[in-house]
Amino acid sequence: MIRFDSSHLHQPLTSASKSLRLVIAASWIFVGAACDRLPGKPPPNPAPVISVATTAGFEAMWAERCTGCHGADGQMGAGLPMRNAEYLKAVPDGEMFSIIRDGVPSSRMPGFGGNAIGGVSDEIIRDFIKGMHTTWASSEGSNVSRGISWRPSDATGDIARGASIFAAKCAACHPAEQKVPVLEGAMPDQLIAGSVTDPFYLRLVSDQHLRSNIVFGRTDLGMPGAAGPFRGPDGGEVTGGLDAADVADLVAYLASKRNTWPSGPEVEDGAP
Amino acid sequence: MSERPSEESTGTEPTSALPSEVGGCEGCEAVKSGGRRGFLFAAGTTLLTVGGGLAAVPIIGVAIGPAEAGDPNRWIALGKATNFKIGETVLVKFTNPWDSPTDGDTNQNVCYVRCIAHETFQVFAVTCAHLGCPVEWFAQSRLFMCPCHGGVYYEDGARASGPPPRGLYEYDWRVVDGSFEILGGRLPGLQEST
Amino acid sequence: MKSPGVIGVIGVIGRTLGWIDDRTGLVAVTEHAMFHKVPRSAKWWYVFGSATLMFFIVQLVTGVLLTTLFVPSAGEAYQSLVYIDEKIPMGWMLRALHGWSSNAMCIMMLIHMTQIFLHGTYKFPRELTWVAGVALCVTTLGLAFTGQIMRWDANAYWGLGIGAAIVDRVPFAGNWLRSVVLGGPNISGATLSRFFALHVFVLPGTAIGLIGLHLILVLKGGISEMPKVGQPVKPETYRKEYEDRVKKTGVPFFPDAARRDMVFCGAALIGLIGLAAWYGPFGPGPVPSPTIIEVAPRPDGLFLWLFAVLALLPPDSETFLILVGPPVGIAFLAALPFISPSGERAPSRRPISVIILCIIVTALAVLTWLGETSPWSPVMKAWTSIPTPIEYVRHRSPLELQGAIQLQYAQCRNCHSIGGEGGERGPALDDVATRLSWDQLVRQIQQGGGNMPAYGKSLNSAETEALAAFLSTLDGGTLPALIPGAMEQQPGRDQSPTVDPRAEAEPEVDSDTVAAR
Repeated sequence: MIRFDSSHLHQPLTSASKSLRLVIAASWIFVGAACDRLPGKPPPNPAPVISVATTAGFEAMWAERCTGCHGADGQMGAGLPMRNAEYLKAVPDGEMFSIIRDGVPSSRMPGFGGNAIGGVSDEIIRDFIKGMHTTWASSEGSNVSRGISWRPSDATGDIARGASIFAAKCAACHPAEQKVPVLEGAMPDQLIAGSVTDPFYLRLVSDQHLRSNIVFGRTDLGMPGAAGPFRGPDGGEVTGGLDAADVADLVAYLASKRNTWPSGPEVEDGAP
Repeated sequence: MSERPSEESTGTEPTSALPSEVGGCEGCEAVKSGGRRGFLFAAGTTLLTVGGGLAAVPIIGVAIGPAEAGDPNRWIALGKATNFKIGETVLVKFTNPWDSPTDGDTNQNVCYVRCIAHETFQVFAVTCAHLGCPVEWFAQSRLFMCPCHGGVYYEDGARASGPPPRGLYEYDWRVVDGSFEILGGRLPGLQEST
Repeated sequence: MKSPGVIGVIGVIGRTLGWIDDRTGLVAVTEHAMFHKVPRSAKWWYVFGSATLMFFIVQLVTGVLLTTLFVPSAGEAYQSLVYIDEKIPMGWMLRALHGWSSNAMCIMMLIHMTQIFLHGTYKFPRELTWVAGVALCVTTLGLAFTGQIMRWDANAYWGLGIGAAIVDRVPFAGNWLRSVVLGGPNISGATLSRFFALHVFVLPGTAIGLIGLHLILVLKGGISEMPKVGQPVKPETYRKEYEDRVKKTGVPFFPDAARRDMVFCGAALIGLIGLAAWYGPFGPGPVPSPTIIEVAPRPDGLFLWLFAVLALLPPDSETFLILVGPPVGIAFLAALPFISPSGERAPSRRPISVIILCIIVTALAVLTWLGETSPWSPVMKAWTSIPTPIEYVRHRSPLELQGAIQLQYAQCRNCHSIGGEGGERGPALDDVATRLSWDQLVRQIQQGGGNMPAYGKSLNSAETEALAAFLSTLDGGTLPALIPGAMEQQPGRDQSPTVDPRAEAEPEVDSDTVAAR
């Protein structure tokens, strides 16, 4: 039962409306604040960009543009691993910058800056190189490359000497004939990595690629760098490392095998 | 029936249709009987028709105006012809020749310029010939790929695979005093001549 | 025992209502609408129409508020959306409500329509109620499509491009029509303005008018009973029988039947608020710039089936089906009550209708799923972002590793997956060596075919060789070779490379490669 007694309503009206207004304002603020804490509240747009010089920002960029060839965590990809402190230190930042921005002509390294579609700015590439150093520069402290420089010196290699070094230190794993690699589960020292003197292979890779592989190795796949140890022709361990001249000779020897086609040098048929 | 409007009558033609159908109604008497009432009805019909016709001119004009605006294509300069490297296909931005102040980013547009030889070009629209999604150029495989329904084109714009009914749309181009120009402005479509 | 105060208040209300009814006649109409008798069997099946209407009202209210914040200018629309999301207190919630309510309205409408179809309610004398409903369905889908354009982002921009490409296919008038729709020769500010007018004035106005008509027709024809086997609709006697039954056993719409509507609508409304609060607004996605082409435009969930249809139609009849299919479909839907105006209403006595419904629902569900996964679309960034599986890198020769690089570099993985990752347009390559011999691999790469582009012009012999070498190692792991010779080495590969191995290996490579040799 409700009774209306209007005479009582008049007196406290002003104070009641005041407190009512206060309550409304307070609840509005509360609801507004609570609303912003709901899970549906969208993140700021555009989301703040994490600098690629940091590990987190670097990894996002690496995952989007590099993982395909260089491996998800910088190794075990089909291409040269970048998770290699010695390599990262050996390649000057300026060279690395132009490789990433413009790619390597007549190789399969595309450019990711400049005029490339979806290309990133020079600033981002410089940061990216910093990120690569912060993330991986301390990943391996060993001395696989024996301090041999990344770029070759002007001296031309000795093909005959390269051939004998190859026979002594490389041929056990890299026989001249292309062989089916051993099945999974085989012991690593049984590994036969397959031919590197195959002319098809050699026409796909540059001398610089060969040099980088010989000097820095592919430790992720079990291939030693210049420091060795290697496997001899008899299957035993050969400990003596390679020096800069040895590397140049080996590259010269391999390069000499590149165009062993009866028809002479390959005519490029439209390849980039 | 005394006077009928001499001008064009409205679509429903109430003057002739109504009386025969609902013969007994009061308002219809006005039409049936001649004299002042019949004249007023006829005059009203006429005036409304003329007024409506006049009002329709700007209304329909603005509604279909964009389609009647004439050829929107203009020659658009894309820089020096020598800026393009032979053998390369690049994405080039240009501004629509008919942009309005409220267009924002949409006053921009892009095309692919393929430089085949010295002053020999092909200029492609970015829109897929299937349903207009933006195709992306992959210099590595020398293919254009469409992200929507998987249309693929070769570097010369010819259809390679997927649902597109034809190759990429091409813009006309010319080189005037070393300046490279394309004839653009209209969104290319299946019914274009190019 | 009512106090004089209460009696006084009721008296005032009664007098006011009487006055309003005297001047407008609206109270009697409202009263009739609220208290008219409805069949007792109208239970939970009948709540979906009310729910659709409720979501439409939510759309009107939130929509009007959104127009006070949204700027329909191509240059500023995106910024205004971001501003609503970030700066307007609870603005994001408003956008979320509008977006989720749009989906909910469409879904409720489709369920409502399904129920009407299943129960044969469209038959005599409710034919025009159904026709008005079909018109409402088209209007609502139009609102949903134009609403996606209002979210002026890359999807909206390229969605318009797709719409323009479809309109352009209309014979003769296509180009003209496209300019009218876009408001110019290309997508621009005028296009947004046109679609804004459609979304905010034309279509809602049409919808309000049609809803009014729909409701008047519902009142006129009466709410249908649940279909009963052995009680077919006979146009000569149906009206009288229905009225007699309702008079005898019917209940007033309010509150008896409305109770279920209220419960369902209330729960749906709370569910809507929950969805909006939890999942937030839709988009806006990337900025709508025509110069940013690294986008993969996708329609909203409701139109994913259409996206799938457009991918799967055979190219030679595509234009015909796109242009003729929807009008014919809508016309058939609208003509339904005239095709079968009488007879049994019970689903158990209408097997063909039930089968048709099942087929349509299954087809839409499958197409929506396909549209969501879109296996026909290349994964545009796969070549740089998805690594070669480590097990395919291990124990591979240097040449095979170069082939693995080539597989990435030539964007093969945009369409082919290995290790479960990559595009799905082409077949997965994990066991390609069990399906194709070396020669077949080389030929497929060089000449393409079967919806694959030919790579003969972009790969030289060494690249092709490396690619085939890598692919021939992909034997699916434990699968034995199905094709004799597939797993064997290429003839000549284990000989000295001074013998050109391709002399025997590639008898059918395309002429360009041969010429280049």
